[in-house]
Amino acid sequence: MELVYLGIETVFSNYTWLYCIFGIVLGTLVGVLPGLGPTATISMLLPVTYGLGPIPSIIMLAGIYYGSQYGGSTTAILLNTPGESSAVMTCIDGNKMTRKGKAGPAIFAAGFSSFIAGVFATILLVTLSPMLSVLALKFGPAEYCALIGLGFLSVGILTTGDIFKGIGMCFIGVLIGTIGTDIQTGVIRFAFFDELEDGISFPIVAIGLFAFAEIIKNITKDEAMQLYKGTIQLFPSKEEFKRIIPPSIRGSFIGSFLGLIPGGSSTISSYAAYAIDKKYGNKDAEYGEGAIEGVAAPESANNAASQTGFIPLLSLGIPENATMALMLGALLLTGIVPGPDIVSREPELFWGLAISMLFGNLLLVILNIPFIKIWVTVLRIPYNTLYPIIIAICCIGIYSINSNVNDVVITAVLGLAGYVCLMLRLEVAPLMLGLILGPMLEEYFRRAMMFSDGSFMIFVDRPIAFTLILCAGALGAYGLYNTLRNK
Amino acid sequence: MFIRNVEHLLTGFVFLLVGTFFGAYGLLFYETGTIEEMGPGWFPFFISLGLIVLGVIQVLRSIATTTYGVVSFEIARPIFITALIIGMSYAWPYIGAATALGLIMSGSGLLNPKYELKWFLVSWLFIIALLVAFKYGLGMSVVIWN
Repeated sequence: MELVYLGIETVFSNYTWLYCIFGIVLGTLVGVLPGLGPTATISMLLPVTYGLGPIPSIIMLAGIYYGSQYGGSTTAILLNTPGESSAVMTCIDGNKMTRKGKAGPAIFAAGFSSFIAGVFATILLVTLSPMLSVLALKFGPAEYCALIGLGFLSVGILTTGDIFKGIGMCFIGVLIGTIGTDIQTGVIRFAFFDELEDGISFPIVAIGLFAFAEIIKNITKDEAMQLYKGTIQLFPSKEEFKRIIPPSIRGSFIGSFLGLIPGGSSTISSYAAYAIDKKYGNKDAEYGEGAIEGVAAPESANNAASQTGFIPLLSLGIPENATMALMLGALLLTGIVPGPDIVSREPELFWGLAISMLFGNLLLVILNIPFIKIWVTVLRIPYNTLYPIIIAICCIGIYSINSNVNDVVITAVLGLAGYVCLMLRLEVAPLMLGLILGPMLEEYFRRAMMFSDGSFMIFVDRPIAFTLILCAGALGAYGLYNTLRNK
Repeated sequence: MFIRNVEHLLTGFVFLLVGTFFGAYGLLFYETGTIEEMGPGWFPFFISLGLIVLGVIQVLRSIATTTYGVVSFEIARPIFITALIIGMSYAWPYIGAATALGLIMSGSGLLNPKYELKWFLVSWLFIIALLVAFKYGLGMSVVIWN
């Protein structure tokens, strides 16, 4: 408890809390705007960290990070456009709720479940932090490969209900992920023009396959262009509020665990939480049709994972994504060197960060409740009038990433491809997971094979990897049985 | 031989097309190496192979299945909107972002008979304000007018 007090003291002294507020407000804004994600914002703010010192700067950057996840979920819910990769699962039920006039409860569920996750993850940090660094160290390349494989299978099966389609879409995502420079050999692969040399960035694919594809689908289906004319509910009912809590706790638990694993990431945890909740959660909830549980579970998981994800970052110096990598850069700029002993070496930084996240998540709920009304007002504008402006905003967002019009062209082409996928009932979520995790899978698989001289026994000899492989095998058998039973 | 499920068939073709493209291109242009020392072509080739297998399975399922699956596409409007965005993106550096985005909005609005001029003007002004904010607030390199 002394360490928690130290964290509270760190946050509420020297106006550090103001940097936290600035970070979450800025993060929410960049999360809402498609295209301009936290990575771009944090990279722009990196020079500022020189003058701020390590604690205020990392607290501010962390605020941008989880604030953007909250903002990203808002666009996922209202416009079916995930501002962040971790908000992909939120689109499924969140946007369906919007279409039923329940945008307010969906946004509230996202914020409230994130807060529950924040509290849960902080409690875990306080009680388990010494052990967690040890667990993170046990993960080698074989374990990562097995974990990613399990992630592919669970998402492929549970989001589509068809193992062949789900895994196929994962593979397409992995192949798209190979476009660009191969890190190991330096060879540029599948880059048919210069802009592809660094690969296709996530916002381009996300906006193309989700936002543009959805717009095209709505334009071609005239009935889908009808405005929702019913009453738009602003806050959840008592019964809905009760339904938010159990999936939030489950999601927090899953996210906290997966966030500890370097590379586990908030994205995998949101997928896993959704899949597990769909399987074992409220049997009466219609997942995929606008269930509030389908918003609460992935949102709590991604928030918990982004919080516990700081443990591998700080203790091992392993960032789970590009945004975390920038934060690692910010730490190094201010003279903080990550290492397993950082909790004892830099207690103010570690506990200040943990408490600031709790404070920031509470502020996110408080600050964003008044905004729910503004966000849902957007829905009063007829979709027929709204879609041209959504296209234009997306174009600006995409262009802002690299100031390159070719990115807009790629997004438009992907939008058409996304429309084809929608018509063929091919879920895009497994493709996105393949795209995000594909490069990591390749890297870890390479390393695993190098260490084992090309022997696949490395996946059997290592207990954690073998357990994960067994889980994947059981899940695969279940998925195959289900698919063949439904033919 | 009778195709019962067109959805499975088309899905299979998509998998086969993507898998064959990446697999063949990778095999032709990148060194595969060995499993211990993988070249840049190893991983994409085997993933492509997996995708091809899944494509074949989907095609076979379209025949073997007992459930019927139909697919309905519209071609004209999706192609029009995609071509409009692509065309205006290439025109963007020459005519300026405000004009290009205005043309994208008005062009896509044409697909909706109820789209009104006043809404277009309000939306366009908003977009111009957003462009100004991105250019002067965030330092985005963009030509607004040309």
